[in-house]
Amino acid sequence: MQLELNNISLTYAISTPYETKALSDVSFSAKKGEFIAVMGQTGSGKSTLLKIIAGLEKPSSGTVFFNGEDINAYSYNKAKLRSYVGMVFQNPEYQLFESSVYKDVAFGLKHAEYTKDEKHRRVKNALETVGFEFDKIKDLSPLALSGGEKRRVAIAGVLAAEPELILFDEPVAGLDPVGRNDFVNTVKKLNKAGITIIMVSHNADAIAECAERILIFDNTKLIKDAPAAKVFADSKTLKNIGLEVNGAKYLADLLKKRGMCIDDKLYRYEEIVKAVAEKIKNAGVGK
Amino acid sequence: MNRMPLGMYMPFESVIHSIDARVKLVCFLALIVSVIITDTLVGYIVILSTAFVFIVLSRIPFKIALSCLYRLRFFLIIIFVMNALFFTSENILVSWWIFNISKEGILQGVHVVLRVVLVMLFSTCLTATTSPVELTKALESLFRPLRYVKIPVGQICMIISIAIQFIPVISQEALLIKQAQTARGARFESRRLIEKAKESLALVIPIFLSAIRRADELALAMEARGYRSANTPEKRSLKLSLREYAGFVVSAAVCALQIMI
Repeated sequence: MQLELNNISLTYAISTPYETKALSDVSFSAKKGEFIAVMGQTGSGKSTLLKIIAGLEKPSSGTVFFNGEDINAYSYNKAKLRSYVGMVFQNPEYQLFESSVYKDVAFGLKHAEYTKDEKHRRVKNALETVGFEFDKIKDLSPLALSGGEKRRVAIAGVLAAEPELILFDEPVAGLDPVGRNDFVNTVKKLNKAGITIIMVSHNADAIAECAERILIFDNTKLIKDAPAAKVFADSKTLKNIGLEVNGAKYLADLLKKRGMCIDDKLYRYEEIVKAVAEKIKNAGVGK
Repeated sequence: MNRMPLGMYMPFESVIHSIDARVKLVCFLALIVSVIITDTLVGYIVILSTAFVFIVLSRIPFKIALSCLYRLRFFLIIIFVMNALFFTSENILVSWWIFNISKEGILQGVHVVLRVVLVMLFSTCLTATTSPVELTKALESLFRPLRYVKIPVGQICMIISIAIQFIPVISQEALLIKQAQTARGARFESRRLIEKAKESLALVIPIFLSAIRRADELALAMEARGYRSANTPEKRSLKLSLREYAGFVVSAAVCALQIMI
């Protein structure tokens, strides 16, 4: 898996009164196994970026190379790209339509030339990855499930193609805390298995828990591309573009203002808890 | 949305934009009537130049006004050919099997094509300069008298305006669902008809579901905000200025001219 974007720009409805710029001059690259989070305010071009990587939108200018091939070249086989790059849209539960969960998850495999056994293995594997018991769920109607379950079925539908790169657009929006934790654990597991993840999210907590690298978009431009620790260490820059740090880091910043010195590099929930506990222990409890 | 949909509203500032929508609708009807009753060369020249003047005044780029005709090119060609080939007349120029090409047939074809083109130009002129909301309000106000015969004008117009306002929302969502299904391996661009029909289920079902869900939510939201079905549409006073009078006079003149010649 090797992804490379060079000077991507996209303008919708060129030369009509509805002309709008969605992305301007964005370049970055991603390697196998990376976990990249994309942050930015609504309308900063994040979702468009994902669609361009998935080959669903054509950039007005610039090139996208996937495994060394230009995906917008005339001779490039887009159907092949779909099996390498999976995309989970915002509210993916709305795309379910088949009469059973099994059929819905297998939908994307219909055109691929797999044997029946292979298809079965993939569907089973995908459903188990998102935390279902295969035999219990496979014959249910996807439309009768709860919102969170529908979303997991939709994600399984993307996993069944066994992509090398998965793009998530706001995967935790509208989920309860338990659902969010489940999701975070699932993507972490996928990432550990070697799948590259690019995830757009407004949820700083989810990002802090799993992302290693963060891209920040502001007003159609890529303004920062840095390791997660570096981005969260600098909460002022985040605030300036209308974004927030995660809850744990926010707490650390508050404690720092009150005089408890916590290393700026720490930002994950567990790290902060550990650091605070240590400080308290060193200071002597009940002083 | 890389192509402008037909008849889309274009928010410019022009004389035509600022004319009251009700006046525009009435003028539009008068002009359509003139198009239908025209059948002389002079008549067509007059009405074509009227359309031309309106488009210039409304500041719609010519490229956009003509692009709607360009998109209908096959339809126009087909109606021309149908008229030219199947018109029964005595002065047949060429005849072969069931096809008869005659001078009258060709003329008839030209007439029909010209009429469709003119109607298209005028309706583009109307819908591009009037926002859908304005248009339904105008309809509501023009149909007000119908409430005396117990027709719920207010409700009908509410339904129409909600429907119109949801077109962009639902088409946006349809595009998203299409992209989502494509991303997971659907092939909508397949050439084979049966395959295409089967694949389109993956679009149709989610779109219907989401439309129904939206309708449900909207109904609840409207009730929560205290909507009571209003039987009488609101009354809006009509202030006529020079622009409106000019519009009336021009369209009435064109219409009268067509009746006379």
